[in-house]
Amino acid sequence: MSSIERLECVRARRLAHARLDGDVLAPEDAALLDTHLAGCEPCRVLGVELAEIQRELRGIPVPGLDAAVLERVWGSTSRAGTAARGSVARRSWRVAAAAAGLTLALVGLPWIIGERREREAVRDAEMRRATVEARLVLAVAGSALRRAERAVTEDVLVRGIGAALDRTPIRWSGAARSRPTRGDNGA
Amino acid sequence: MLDIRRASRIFVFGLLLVPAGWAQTKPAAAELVDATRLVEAVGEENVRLRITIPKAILAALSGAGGDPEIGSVVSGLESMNAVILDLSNAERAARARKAARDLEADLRGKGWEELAYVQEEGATVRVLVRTDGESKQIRGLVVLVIDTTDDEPALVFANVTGTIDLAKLQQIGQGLNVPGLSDLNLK
Repeated sequence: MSSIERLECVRARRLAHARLDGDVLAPEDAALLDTHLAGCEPCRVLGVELAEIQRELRGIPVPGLDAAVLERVWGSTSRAGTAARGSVARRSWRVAAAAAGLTLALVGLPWIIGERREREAVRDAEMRRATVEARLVLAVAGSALRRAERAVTEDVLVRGIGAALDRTPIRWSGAARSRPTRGDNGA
Repeated sequence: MLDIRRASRIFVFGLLLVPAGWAQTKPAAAELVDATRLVEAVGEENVRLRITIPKAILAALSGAGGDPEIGSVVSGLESMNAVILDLSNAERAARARKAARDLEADLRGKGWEELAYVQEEGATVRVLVRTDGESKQIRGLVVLVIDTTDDEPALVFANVTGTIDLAKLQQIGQGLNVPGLSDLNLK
């Protein structure tokens, strides 16, 4: 890339920034920019990327500024500035810091609160789901146990304890302790 | 008089006894029973329901904010898992029966004992338990139900590990207001 081309690129990028910022370019500047973008791929790519960044930035919700909060911040920074009587640079730094803090508080706090609420909502949903699933597993296990118990009871009533134990080696108290095996009459 | 070397030996011996004491007071839960072979026998596409609840979620369910009805039952549990498989096809049902028999044989080989086996017309209920060697406390439960009498024939597998109170499980299963196994609408 020659130095003339680089100069064109620098100028074109400045014009591209201005256009993205909403400035109305003079007709000759607009023509110059369009001609340059048509022939210079790096500037064209940069222009597209800048446009995308700007679009994404516009998509970020801007929280409403509470007048009372602004008043407090303004008051505290003014007092700090007056008391300090520092240099212009120091005052500027404080104002900038206060502005940055306010921006972070206004943008970051709702985001943090939102994140926490989202996590709590997910946790609640997981708990509800786990509760339903646990109930189902317990119901399945309980149902199988009751079914086995019912079968044994019916067998005992109909055919006597020996036949029942022959079919169902079941123990309800002290489970699985010295149970007869299938085929063993037990009684 | 007790010299330092002897005292240190007693101290080290005492330290060695502490973990042994812990191990005795808190017996290990039975290992989770993998239902993969049952699923593989009928194909993943025939899984109607699959539930896995890890220890952390069970602990949350039994803690504050959890369902008080099931909290008392799941408080000692370490895991719950269940699978319900569609057996509407006769060939699939035969494969599932074989897989269930194989799983039962495998579990028996690993020290699980049959608590109940009920064979009725078109339905088989197997309940296997894993007990702790010394206390005879039930530390694992497997329920295997193959029911082809229903409109929607199914294999139901449920596995619970941890400290299990069968009487409580049966009792809570009745009061859970969940329809009986044959009435479960799982679709």
